[in-house]
Amino acid sequence: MLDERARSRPPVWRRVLRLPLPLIIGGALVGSFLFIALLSYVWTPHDPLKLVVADRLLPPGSDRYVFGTDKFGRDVLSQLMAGARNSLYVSLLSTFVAIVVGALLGLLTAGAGPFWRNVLSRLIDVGVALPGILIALVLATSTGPGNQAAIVAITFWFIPIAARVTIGPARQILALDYVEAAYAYGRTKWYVLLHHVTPNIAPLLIVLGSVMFAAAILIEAALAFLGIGAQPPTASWGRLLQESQPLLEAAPTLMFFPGVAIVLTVLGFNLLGDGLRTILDPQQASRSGLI
Amino acid sequence: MARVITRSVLSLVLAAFVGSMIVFGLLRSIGGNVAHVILGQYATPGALEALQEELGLNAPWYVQYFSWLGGVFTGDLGTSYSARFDIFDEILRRLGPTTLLAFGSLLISIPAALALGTYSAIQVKKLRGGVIDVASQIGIAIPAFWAGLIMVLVFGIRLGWFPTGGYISPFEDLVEAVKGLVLPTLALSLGITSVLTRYVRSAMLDVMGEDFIRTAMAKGRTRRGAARVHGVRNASVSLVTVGTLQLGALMAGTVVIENVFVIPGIGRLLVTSVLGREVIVVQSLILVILLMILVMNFLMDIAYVLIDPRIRDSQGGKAVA
Amino acid sequence: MLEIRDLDVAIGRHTIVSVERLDIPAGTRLGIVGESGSGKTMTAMSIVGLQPNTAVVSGSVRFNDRELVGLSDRRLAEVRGRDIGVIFQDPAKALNPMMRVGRQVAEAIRLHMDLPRDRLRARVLQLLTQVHLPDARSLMRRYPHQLSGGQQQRVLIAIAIACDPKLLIADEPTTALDVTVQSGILSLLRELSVERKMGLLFVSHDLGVIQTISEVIGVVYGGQLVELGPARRVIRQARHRYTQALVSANPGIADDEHLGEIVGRQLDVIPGSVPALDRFPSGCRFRGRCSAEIASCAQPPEISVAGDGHIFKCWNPIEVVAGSEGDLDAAS
Repeated sequence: MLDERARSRPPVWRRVLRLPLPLIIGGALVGSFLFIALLSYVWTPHDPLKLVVADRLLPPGSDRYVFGTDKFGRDVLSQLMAGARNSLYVSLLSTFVAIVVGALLGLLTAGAGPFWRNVLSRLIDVGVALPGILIALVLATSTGPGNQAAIVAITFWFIPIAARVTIGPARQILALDYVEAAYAYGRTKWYVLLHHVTPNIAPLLIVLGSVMFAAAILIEAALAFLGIGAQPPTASWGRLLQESQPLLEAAPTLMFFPGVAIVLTVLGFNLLGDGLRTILDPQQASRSGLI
Repeated sequence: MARVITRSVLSLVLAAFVGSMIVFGLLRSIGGNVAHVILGQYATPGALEALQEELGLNAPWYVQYFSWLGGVFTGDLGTSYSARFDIFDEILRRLGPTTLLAFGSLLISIPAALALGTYSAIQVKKLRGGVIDVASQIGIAIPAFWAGLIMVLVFGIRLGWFPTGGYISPFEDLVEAVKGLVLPTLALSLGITSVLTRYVRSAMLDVMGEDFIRTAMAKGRTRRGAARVHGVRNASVSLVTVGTLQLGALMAGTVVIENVFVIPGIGRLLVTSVLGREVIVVQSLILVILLMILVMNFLMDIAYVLIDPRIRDSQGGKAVA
Repeated sequence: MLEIRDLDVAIGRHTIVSVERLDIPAGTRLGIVGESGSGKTMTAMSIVGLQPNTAVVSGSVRFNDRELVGLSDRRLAEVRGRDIGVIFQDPAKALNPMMRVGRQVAEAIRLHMDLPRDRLRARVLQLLTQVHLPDARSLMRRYPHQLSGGQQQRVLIAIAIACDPKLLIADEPTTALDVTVQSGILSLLRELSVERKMGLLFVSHDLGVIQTISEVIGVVYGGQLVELGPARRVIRQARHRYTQALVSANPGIADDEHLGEIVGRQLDVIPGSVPALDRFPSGCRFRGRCSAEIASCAQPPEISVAGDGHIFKCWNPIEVVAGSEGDLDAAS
């Protein structure tokens, strides 16, 4: 019986190919990004921070330096790998905290009585409407520039958004019959929220996480580019771009590689989010198919 | 109609007031002692005391808040601590470039997004529609500052068509001013156009499922003709609503782009002030940016009313489903 | 005038409509009745290529000897509005909310006729008057949301008849309206059909409505035409079990003369509901909900002729007493 089923199932690669294309491409890009970022903890072709004055500004393809070197003779490829690590660190931390806190806030709001629900959702609306970049800058003024400022800024930026996204679906699920039944069994509100509502909105949060991760990478890069985020000597894609600007004419490839890294990674997370949305939300998928 | 505008103006004023409170409150609550932030951790007690006195920080917070807010109207926001410029005058001077950049980008992005989004929605099953879809997905992933750097390299340095940076007022030399604004505006528009294109596309796909599109086809329109004549205008209503949400991103982009192209606008001053810990300058600049967003929001509200006859008739901004 | 042969509409792998044979002679008012989800709307829409994008139509629909199935959107668009007009279920949604009523009516004319401005305007006014809309002049300048549901539907009828089509397809045109407004729309449609000798394909779930307007009634179940015939015969001498169930479920259909035989099960409800697309049983699709199922029902039923244009598809039809059949024929 088991054998039968195992044999009738198509091989893994075939099942993977049947997934939506954005999911495959996005998954591949995100996978490469994660691999490179994690790899950089244990191995990079050169020490990303080591200055080799003799090897300054070598073009890509030079001996031992695949992507060339910067004005201090540091290996660009190694710096890119370390930059991926920094992107991963900042984006993962801020997105994760924002989604957990935001979702809890959303659940709390959805489960609250009419008065507090109104007050909380108004506050969340204000938070969503506030331009996040401004909050980031306010925070950076007080805390001083650095990765820490970027993380705090992105987190604060995303919390109201995650909460806003959670409230609607959470309220819908709370209104369902079986949830009412759970109350009747004497379950507490938090039990219902965690055991019935959370599993139902989990797919939504996963999609949101993917899309937010993409945004976080862009914001991290922008803050580092402006000098508000990661500080030297921390390698960050945004900072690599900032350093490349005075050398645009002399060494344009210094500007090229970090940009491509950002675009591919952001694209990867956005596509992954799109793909996940199609497979996790059949209603949406069929709706888009109808038109 | 007049009623709707009055209502929009009132909500504009209210939002500005609330916004100013939030900005003020955030900087005070998170940043802690303002004088301490400005002077850094090695400040002597004497210097702190002197600065406290100069900035009026010893007064209760509401006195500080209202004197700051009053300064917005009287044109007295104090003096920058380290650079010693008059904050109000400096902001006024820098408002022009930023406004040109932001509005210029909107003027490019909105029509472009409408055209591209509509086209890709109509061609949804064809290759050309797919290409736009993919291109917009990539456009979202391109950071504005990288797009700016590439444009500087290609059109500024290599081809020499446009200046690589700086700013010339249109009152001085209109041609040079426009030339200088082309690259920054395009770099800023790229991301916003991509985002809006995707919104238009999905709005058009929704609209194309509406009954009135079927009615138009029943009259003898082709699917494409129905989309052109009846779809675009209806889809642009939802573009206006999501457009307001993109204004924050637009201003964020302006801050970054001004720094790439060395444009002496609000955004560049903001970044130098943040790095220089000029709390009072940052606070005022952020209020200005917030006001710009609110004003654009207000203009979009008006556009909304002009486009949709249903809102024109209703008592306020409440849309008829 | 309109001849449908082996029309199939499929979404994905599921064939949701399959009609072997249906004719609408010029000037005839044909009513199609069936529960929601029975595919009646899909049938009507696929005639003029207004089915959803995902649906695939095959078979043959000939309109005055012109094949419509397989025509490009551009060619079909020439037929739509000019030869075949269409009105829809929900008038509130069927008009463009952002365009003045007059322009929407004018558009229907402009697409097929090249008229100068003043004559176009006169034609719009004339159309709005013909659908009995008062004060047409000021109505032209209004937006759809400023009209009542009945007025909106009249505007839509004006749009549909703008180019004097030979066939009007009406998909549940009264369902979204108040009962009092319904009868007005129905009599308008009948009047227009008679005056202009315009064929009418009227689709509704409401047998009562269908009965008042149709000369010929077709009953659809599970995407298939299960019974078709002259209106009086289909209602009073239904042969298919589903038709009979439908008649029983609609109180007040039959007139006094035949009330006696129906009164006993007047408010009968058809057991169960229409299954999902892919859940229909093999053989007769009504199997499982039918009260008179026999062994042969497992096979797809064939078309049987009950006489004089009355056909049905049932293995175990309701037997008709010879006498009453004669009466009816004599009466009609």
